[in-house]
This record gives sequence, C-alpha cells and structure tokens, in this order.
Amino acid sequence: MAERLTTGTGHGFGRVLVFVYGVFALAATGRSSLQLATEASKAPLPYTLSAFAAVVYLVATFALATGRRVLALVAVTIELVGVLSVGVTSAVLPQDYPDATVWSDFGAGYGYVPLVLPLVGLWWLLRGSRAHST
Amino acid sequence: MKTFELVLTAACLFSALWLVVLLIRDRTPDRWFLNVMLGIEALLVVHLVLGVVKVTDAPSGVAVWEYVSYLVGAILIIPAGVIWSSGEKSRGGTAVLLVAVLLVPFMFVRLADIWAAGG
Repeated sequence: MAERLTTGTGHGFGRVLVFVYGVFALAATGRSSLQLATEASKAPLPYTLSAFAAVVYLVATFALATGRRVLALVAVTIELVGVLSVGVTSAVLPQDYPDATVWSDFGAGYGYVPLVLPLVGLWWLLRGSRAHST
Repeated sequence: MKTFELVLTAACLFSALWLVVLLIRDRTPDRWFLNVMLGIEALLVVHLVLGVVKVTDAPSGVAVWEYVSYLVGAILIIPAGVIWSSGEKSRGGTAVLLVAVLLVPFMFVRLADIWAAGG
C-alpha cells in the first residue's frame, strides 16, 4: 500500500506528465540561467521570475516522478498561481516585462502549455489521491 | 538545413501518426520503431553540426547561445523520451514518445524564430 502511494504519480498517464514537466524544468532552467548570466540587468523582474518558474518546475518534476503527492500539489498550485498572476500582470503592465518569461501572456510563447499543465497536474493529483484514499 | 528540417519534420509527424495508431490500439512500439527513433536522432546530430556551422556566420543580432542551446536541446529530446518511456510498457510510455516526436518540429520553429529575430 505504502509502496503504491510512493510510485503512483509517475506511472500511466503520470509518465507523460513527468516527461512534459521535465522538459519545462530543463527549458526554464536553461533559459533563466542563460538570461541571468548574460543580461541580468536588462530585465531583472522577468528573469528572476523565469528562475523562480524553473525552480517550481524542477520541484514539480521531482515530486511527480518520485510520488511525493503533497509536494507535487504545492508545486503545481504555485505554478498555477504563478502563470495566472504573471499572465494578468504582463497584460496589464507590459512595461514591467521588457522581455518574456515562460509565464508571460499565460504562456502563449509555449503554446499555452504552461497554462494547461498545472490544471492537468492538479486533475491528475487530486484524481489519484481520491482513488488511493478509498 | 531547411531541407534537413523538412525531412526531419516529416519523419517526426509520420512517427507521431504511427504512435497515435499504437495508442488507439493500446500497443507499445516494437523494435522497428526504435530504429526509426535512432534514424531521427542520427539526423538530428547532423542537424546540430549544420546549425553550429550556420551560426558561426550569423548576423550580429542573432542570439547565438540561445540558438545553440536549442540545437543541443533538440538532440536530447528523443533519447530522453526513449529512456523515460522504456520503463513504462503501457499507453503512458507510448504517449511519452508521442510528446517527444512532436517536440522536435517545435524546436525547429523556435530556431527559425530566434534567427529571424536577430536577422
């Protein structure tokens, strides 16, 4: 029982979810470290946000892959709040975002996947936990 | 390089179609399909070399490091997908490969965008 709980989130459909999260973790980490290393002063707010997003994706990937359900829920929720608030503020205050982040315009630059991903993640985690708790 | 990307995109889309068929029939890819992945990966390595050569002669506005990181990223996708899907002999594993082969053409789009933004 305990074993099934620890491996539950990374299998079946979760396998795909972990892969997509992994891709975003890598992409966001690469992008933000490149931006912070080469042109941090140009747009400190978006680049810091990119780095924050990278950490969130890394934690979410790790938590989903290793079946840490609570940690995954926290990371995915922060991700959803992040993409929504950055999406709204980048639309209202475009002058604060001279360069794009992963979450700008609700992730339009990444085919809106950053917006859909946390919703799918929450669905997967909550659905899974219901199945396990019964 | 353009021709190369077109051939690769066609191969990836064909693979994607095949994977969708496998998903519907609830089957996992066989050895033959692994060879297709190997072929695509080999072409991607050549694509990386061509891209690096191309970027040495880039207009000054092109973000060279970003371009190169996308080139390198493109060769990592298929191996990562194959390895990650190999642990899951079910629809989940097949779907991982589907995501991987669809990501490759997306990388080409990004590469073209980066080039156009600096040119």
